[in-house]
Amino acid sequence: MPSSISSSERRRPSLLWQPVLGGAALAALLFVCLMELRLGLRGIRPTVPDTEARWIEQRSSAAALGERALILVGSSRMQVDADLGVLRARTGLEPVQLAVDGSSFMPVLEGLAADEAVRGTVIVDLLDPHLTSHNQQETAYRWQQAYERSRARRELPDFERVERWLSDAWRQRLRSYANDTRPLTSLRHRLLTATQQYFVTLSDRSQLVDYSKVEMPAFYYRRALKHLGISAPPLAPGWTWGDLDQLLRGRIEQLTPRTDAIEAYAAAVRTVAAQAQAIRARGGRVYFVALPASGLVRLMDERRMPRALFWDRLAREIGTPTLHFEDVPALREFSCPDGSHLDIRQRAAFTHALVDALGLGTAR
Amino acid sequence: MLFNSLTFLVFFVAVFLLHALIPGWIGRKRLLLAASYVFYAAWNPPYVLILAFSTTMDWWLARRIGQCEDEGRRRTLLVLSLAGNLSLLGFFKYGGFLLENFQHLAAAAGVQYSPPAWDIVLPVGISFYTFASLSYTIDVYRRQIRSDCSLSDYALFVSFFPHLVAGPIVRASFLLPQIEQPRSATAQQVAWGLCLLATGLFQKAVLADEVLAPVVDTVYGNSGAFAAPDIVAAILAFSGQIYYDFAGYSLAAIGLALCFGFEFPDNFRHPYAARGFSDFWRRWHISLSTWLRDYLYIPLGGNRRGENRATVNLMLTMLIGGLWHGASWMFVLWGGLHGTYLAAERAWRRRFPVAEAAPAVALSLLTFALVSLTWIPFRAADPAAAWSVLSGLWRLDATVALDPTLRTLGLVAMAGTVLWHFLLRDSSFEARFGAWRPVTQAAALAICLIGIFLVSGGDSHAFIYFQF
Repeated sequence: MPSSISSSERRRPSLLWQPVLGGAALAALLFVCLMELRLGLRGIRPTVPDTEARWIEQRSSAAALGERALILVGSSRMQVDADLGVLRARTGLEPVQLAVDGSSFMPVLEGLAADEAVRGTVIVDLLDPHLTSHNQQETAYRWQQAYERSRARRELPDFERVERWLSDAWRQRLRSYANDTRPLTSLRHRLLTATQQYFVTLSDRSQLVDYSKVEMPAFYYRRALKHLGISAPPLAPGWTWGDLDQLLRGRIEQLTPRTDAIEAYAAAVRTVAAQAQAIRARGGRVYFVALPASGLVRLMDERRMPRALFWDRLAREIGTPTLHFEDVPALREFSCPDGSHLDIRQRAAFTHALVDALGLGTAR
Repeated sequence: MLFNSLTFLVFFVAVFLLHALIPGWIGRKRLLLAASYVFYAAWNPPYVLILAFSTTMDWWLARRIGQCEDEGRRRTLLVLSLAGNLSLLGFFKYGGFLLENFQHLAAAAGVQYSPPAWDIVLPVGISFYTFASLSYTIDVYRRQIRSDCSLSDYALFVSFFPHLVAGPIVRASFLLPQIEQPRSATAQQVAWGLCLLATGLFQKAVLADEVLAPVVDTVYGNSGAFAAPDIVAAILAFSGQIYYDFAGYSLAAIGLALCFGFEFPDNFRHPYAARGFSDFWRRWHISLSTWLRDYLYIPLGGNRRGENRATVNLMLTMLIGGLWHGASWMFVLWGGLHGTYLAAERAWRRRFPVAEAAPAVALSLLTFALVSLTWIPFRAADPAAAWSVLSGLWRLDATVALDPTLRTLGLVAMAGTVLWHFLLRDSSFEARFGAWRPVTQAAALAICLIGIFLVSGGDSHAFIYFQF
């Protein structure tokens, strides 16, 4: 053996291994338990990671359920606003949540249209900008691709999939991982500072948002600023919320309609119409809905893509039922606390009203 | 399957329990062999065939070498083993690189050549298990070890999961005798093995990935925008990141092997307290540096054929050592720089033997500074990126700055690392740990476990050395 290679045997310390290992394990376990307890006292609930694997599982259900499926497509508004329990009870169908936070519905609808097994009822939460700007980097596109790959060939339970499954199973049971955070983040932001948990993801991929746990109106204006693409508003020292509101309204007034996107929008409407028609031809039903938005967020949406130029055109040309929340008094009443999503206390009533407006209810 | 993953935790616990339940040594060895192939297949199932092919080929060739007395025939069989292994390594690891360089050469000669797209996935750990396997045929050829081990024992030596994908490069002469002798781990071995595993994972998950990697990734991702203090922080942080990433993996591997009663060689010995570059290479990736010394540098003639030849041999060894890390001229440059330092140090020590008496701390700091600077081409994607980092050392104006907390954490971690290496330079982690009171030992381990828990749940970073 070369002289420079040594084994760790010669220098292995003699341990009182039971107290040392036992003590270390106990101390670590105690730390985790205390952290979980403190987080529990702060009102933090474990949440389910909204992962590709979970989406694929739901997507498989959409096909397997056939005509009994009530498939929800769209973005975070659909995940937050729709109460799946109410939908299940009112429609007699089995809801499948396929909406993807921050992503366009386009790749998902395309996949549903191409899948002969999809024969259920599809409700699409349609945001006008998603018709003209979506790309292959979006989560929805990647998840749809992953679903198609998994369907194309039976895959061995490889490392990544087993790891995802184990990781999900572990993380959804501990408060330290709530909302896809790491324990270190929970320690810093939920224990050392008093940030509250305002949203929870459920195992059916729905999201519950409780706006009583956030600081208003700061949260609302942060959303508005983000929607407008401003990171640091130019405000004088001593500014008030009223000043910020005025500033943002002024900025919104300066926005001009995206007339340059009309052609692309029209082309996308034709594509989407053909996809809806493919599902309908198999006996399915497709509804396009515009879910509620309020305040500055709604104002911005209307300035950028006015109904008259975009949504109304889609409603005329798409050849399948559409519903804009502003056209239904029962839906118009709902105001989004952050401008874009409903509160946990509004979602059941809203879902009842949505089912009524779409004429999907079989019981109340 | 990464050591810092839940899948591995489940895998290890299952294998450990089964290993303890199986009474016979042969059954235990078969379990470890099967588990090692499952471990490798978890990454890419078809590639276990390459591992099995390489293993069977070397076992068969070594057996023939051992049975043969004719020197010419023995040499032919050894050449076959070398050619077989290096061809596999060359094809998978360097095929694309060779084609690309051939294309450039052809273009320089005025010939247009468009190589086919090279999208072959590199089998993980091929550099490690090829070198481990080669040590067997070469040692059998040299008549340093016997060649009568069974195929299953040999396959377990090559594929034993703790060292399979990222070392340490364990030699046949070291591990095969342990595999042949029935053994079961003592409570002390398992306990120390678990301590090493926890320490190694702490080094990887907390120090390398959480504390140092953000500094490195931020600055190297946009190096032209940062001023000198941030560039210095990133250079130092990468020294720490690469050390804790690889030394952490090695510690975990040594600990895992110990849990099954096997001893592995040390792979790192506080390298950032090295006094000079020959000392550095006695402390950094020891299993590779000694492999290169024993199977390349010495066979080339070592220092037995005069100073000039020794310098050439040194440079060749370090250039090949650099290339071993990856199919890129940047690694060759890194190896070349180390070769130059070693040759210069050798010449310096010959001319000024009194240099041995140079202030030890100054020598160590100078070595550390040069080693850190030399990591730049190792980390940078191309020469332009490397130059951008290097030239940043004189840049005073910045368009962006590192988050001060991030920078401070990185610098404190590196100061602590260098100090720790200095304190333990002539000692060892084992000795230091053993000198602590049990309550301190338990507290240190608890900190490791809590740290691993706190940073868990993000994206698991693969170990840097997996790519080699």
